[in-house]
Amino acid sequence: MGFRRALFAFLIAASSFGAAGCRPDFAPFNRITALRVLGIQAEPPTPMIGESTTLSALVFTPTPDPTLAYHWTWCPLAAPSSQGYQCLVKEADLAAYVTGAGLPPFPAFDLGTGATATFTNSIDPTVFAFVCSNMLPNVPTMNAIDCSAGFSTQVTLTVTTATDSVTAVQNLKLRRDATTPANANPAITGINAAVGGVYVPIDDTGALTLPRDVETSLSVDVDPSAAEPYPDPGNDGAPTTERLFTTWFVESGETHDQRTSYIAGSTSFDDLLKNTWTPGITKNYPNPTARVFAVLHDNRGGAAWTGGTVTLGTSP
Amino acid sequence: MIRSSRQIAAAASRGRRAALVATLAVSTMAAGVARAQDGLGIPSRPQEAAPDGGVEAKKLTKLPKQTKFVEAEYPKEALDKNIEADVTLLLDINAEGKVDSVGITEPANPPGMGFDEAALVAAQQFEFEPAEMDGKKIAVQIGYKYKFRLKPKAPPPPAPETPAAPDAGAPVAAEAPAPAPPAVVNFSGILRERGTRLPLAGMLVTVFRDDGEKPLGFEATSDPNGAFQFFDLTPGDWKILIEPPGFYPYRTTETIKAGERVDVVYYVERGSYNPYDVTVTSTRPRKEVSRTVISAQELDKVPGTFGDPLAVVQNFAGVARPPPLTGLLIIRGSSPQDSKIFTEGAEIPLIYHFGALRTVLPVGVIDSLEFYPGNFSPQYGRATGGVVDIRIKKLQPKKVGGYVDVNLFDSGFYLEAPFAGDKGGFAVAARRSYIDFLLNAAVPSDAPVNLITAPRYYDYQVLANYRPSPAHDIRLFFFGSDDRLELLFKNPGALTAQISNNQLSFSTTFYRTLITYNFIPNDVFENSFKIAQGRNWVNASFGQLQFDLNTYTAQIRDNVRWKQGQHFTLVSGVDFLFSSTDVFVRAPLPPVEGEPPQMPDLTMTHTTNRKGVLGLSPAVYLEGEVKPIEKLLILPGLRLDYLTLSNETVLQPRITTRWGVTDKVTLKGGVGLFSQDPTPDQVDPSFGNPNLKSEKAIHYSAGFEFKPRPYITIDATGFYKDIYNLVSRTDRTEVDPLTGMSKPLLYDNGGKGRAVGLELIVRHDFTNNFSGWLAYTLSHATRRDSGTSDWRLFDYDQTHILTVLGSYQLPRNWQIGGRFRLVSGNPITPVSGAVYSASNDRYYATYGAVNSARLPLFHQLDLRVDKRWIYKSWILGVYLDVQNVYNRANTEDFDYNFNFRQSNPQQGLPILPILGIKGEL
Repeated sequence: MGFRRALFAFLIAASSFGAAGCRPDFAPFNRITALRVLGIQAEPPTPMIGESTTLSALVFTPTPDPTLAYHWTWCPLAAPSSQGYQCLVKEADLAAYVTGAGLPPFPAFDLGTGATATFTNSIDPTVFAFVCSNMLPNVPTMNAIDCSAGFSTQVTLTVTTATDSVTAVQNLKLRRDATTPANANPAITGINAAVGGVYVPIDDTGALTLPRDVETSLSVDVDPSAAEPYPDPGNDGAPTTERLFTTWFVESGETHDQRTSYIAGSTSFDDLLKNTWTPGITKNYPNPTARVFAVLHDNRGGAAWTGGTVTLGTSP
Repeated sequence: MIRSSRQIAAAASRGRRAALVATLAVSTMAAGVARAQDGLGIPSRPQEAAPDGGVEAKKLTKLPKQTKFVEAEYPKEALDKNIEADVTLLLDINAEGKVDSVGITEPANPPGMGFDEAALVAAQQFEFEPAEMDGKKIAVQIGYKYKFRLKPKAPPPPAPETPAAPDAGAPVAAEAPAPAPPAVVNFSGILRERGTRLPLAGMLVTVFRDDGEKPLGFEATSDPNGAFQFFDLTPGDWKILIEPPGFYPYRTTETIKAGERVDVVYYVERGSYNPYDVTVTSTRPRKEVSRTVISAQELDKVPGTFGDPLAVVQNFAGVARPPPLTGLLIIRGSSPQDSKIFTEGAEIPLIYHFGALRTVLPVGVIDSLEFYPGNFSPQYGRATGGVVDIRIKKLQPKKVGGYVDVNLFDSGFYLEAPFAGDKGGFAVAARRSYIDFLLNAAVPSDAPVNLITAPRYYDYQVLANYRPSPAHDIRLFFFGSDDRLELLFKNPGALTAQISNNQLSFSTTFYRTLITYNFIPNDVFENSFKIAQGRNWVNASFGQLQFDLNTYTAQIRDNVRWKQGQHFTLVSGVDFLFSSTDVFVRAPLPPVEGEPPQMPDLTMTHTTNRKGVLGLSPAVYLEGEVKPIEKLLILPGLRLDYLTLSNETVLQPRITTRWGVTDKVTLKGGVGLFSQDPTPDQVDPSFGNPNLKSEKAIHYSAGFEFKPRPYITIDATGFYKDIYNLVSRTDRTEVDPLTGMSKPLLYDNGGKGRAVGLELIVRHDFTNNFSGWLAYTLSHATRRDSGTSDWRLFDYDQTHILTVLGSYQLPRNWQIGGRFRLVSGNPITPVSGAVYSASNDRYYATYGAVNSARLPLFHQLDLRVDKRWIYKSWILGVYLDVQNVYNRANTEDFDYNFNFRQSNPQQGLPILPILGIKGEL
């Protein structure tokens, strides 16, 4: 029959997502115990030609680490996940091409080693047009370039300490002009825990005490307007509401859901905002305090986060 | 034949040696059954033996029926010493029913008493009604056990009455004698086989009594309807004895009353309910280098397969062990999509429920399964790997019958009935799973999913056969299946941050109608015409991914076989395949062989939306069967295919040779070109490259077959496969000359493949209650991707594949079987690190060299126990099939934690007992 391989791959994909959550032998994805990049934000997330965007990251280390170092880069054409997100073009080759064509240079791939970085969308409009029209020859890519939501580039952050290293990538869509819809990072203003049936903010002081091994309700503060309407390029530009996802990271124990979501027509906005957390017992987590983070994503590359520290009671 | 009581008594008076009876342990007369040896069960034929002249086993339409039995002379020395013995013979019965030759497979014990010689002499004189296959008389070879048994003398006949002497002086009147009163039947009956209710013809029924002054006995033989009669039995109790060869003795007592008639039905139990074990020596020569045929009865009993027909194929040489629950067919280093599964030569759209669970065709509608690992005939095409052809039952039921089957996965029934006398039959079958009922009951309300439609499948078959005359055979086979699953995820975000809704649904539906008309007017000409048509629907969605396919397919095949003298037969045919497809797919690119497993990126999808995509792939073929000398067979062949997806016409020459060097040894070899289209997604403008060409493979194979004993076959075949024009993923781009736009060149034909190996099969046909085989494959399969110069291992390269399988028939209808497998682990690509995608909130693995590591060795033992209880009119069968008896934790893959820094072996199925119950009418 036709497309049997595609169907088989479809079934494997569906089952692999389902199985991904069923690995009881390992610590859950959202329990943070070592160097991790929990989120990357570009503000604004879709800079237009001539605009700059500030890149920042939520980086977790178990203890303050003076050796923590950052390195930011960007790449105009990156391979997909199946090829490790490697950059498909060499900076020197790209420079030679634009120079030979008498065009202004692309921004340098290296964006620096600070905790934040700045990227300026200084790609020449002519080059932009060439790229978005797939007129750039001999560029290795697995997919035709589609700029209807912006020219998709990739930002890479490598964080290192004396003993560990993590590489993270973030898709960064560059707009040619105002006709391409812009995106805004969703806003998340706080995280709370239920104490005596009342939600109390979790701040960075550790003033709030939660019992160990007891399921405690958590919530985040997100306004429904964070789910922006936009024309969906994958649906012929039909008006669509953004999908929002909250990933709940904890230093101890487990949450009921690692990620909650708001998908219009499938789940409610309230589902996005609520979760429960059961902090670990002293034997598994002896520290008296634990950090929690909530990272909010939209499906168009926007991100934001909040977090706090709680004090954990004595183990039952 | 029915003889009167008086006739039997008269015969006894002539002094027959009724005290010593050489009984046949074989009945070749029971309707529907050919049993050559008492206690023999199902012959296992994992590989066809090929002695001189070609041998193949097929189901007969008529079994040989003995018409002349010659009683052997009981050896005097054995008689004097009261010694009994059995001699097992092998009879070659020609197409005229005469015995051409007799061999001894098991001599008598004790030897040297003369039993063997006596049995040989007697068997040489046997005569039979010849066996038939599709109306043609054919030669057969049967096993035959001759039992020498001592029996008590039959009661002597009553002495004839002497008229009293007349009184002296009394006048003697000259009177005419009074006419004898007509014989009156006062005891009659019908013999039926217990369980199947089939009439038993040619069985000897003995009635006797030994409670009077003199013992008295009579005999009668049942007619073709199983009926027997006795005349004028005197009132009183009579002992009944029926002791036919191959059956348990039947003893009972009947009371005859004056002026009354007793009518009975006796159900006589067979010694073993395993059907035919007749080896057919056919006039059609064995042609293939490698071909395996396994009958439906054998398919049903192979341990570890739950009676699933295609799971049995995994036990053949040349077949790699697939990943669990995938049902992939990996033959001699070819990818699964390179091999084809047919039903009577017609392609099947979907062979498994839910892609891997159960075959859509139950064993009940199957006659046999033919497997060609390579170098197959030009009659098959559009495949560069191997071929499996499922043969559907030739329906000729003699009575209404069927079965109900209940097992762990599903329940089903099969019902067949004759029509138009013995000219035809009709059957219906259906099966439905009940996992959905169990899941609906077991899934709690706080589960993370809502089951809208719990996974369920059903399939159905209708089969009809009509043979108005031996030359004409018309068959209709209608079948289909439906699989369905729909659920909602309560928290889709828990699965992935990329998903756009919370739904998962899957459904596949298809139906096919296959009509076959066989015209065989004589031994010289044969024509087989087949037409198949049907439709398939596949619909699947997961979040924003979608897959909708609606295909109409029609296939016409015609095959002509024309014998032109003793040395040459010409086979020619056409094979037209037509399709019309509507397709909508939105999905990531499917993975390709050699690509490490990766969680697909749901935002990187391709979309295709096409309606009325037509495909027409005609093919013609010619094959010659050249027999220049008696034991040499050469088969040159040509197949010409037009492959619609690659828009290419490919001429494929093929040749195979078989040479019977001696009666026991055959050499064989073959070489041929095979081609196939790329898959439809590979040539789709959105998913692939519309300019792809067909893939090709050259098969080379050579080997020998050796039969040291009539029931043992050793088959060794070496093979080499050269695969080229292999479709391979690229990361290059190409520039459209019209628009100047560059676009990804997702695939090209720059890939290559090689497979080399040796297959060894040692098969033990059913003898001494045992059958089984050992299959070992040593192989090495590699690939070279487009744009690379290095060869790497094929994804399913398994260096060693060993399968040892056997079944043993125990008394009282018990059977035990086992299967042991030892297989090299599949190659794997090691993980070298991971990258975190903040956009997708997930880690993605990075990999080392492709297939540069290997999973650990796999080994597993499966056991199966069958028991049948034979009741008067039905049979109850129960089986317990236990997979992985010693609970070996085989590593099938590795599980990784979220950032791929930790891994655990992913274990295959643990010990898994499956209980099945089957009631047969």
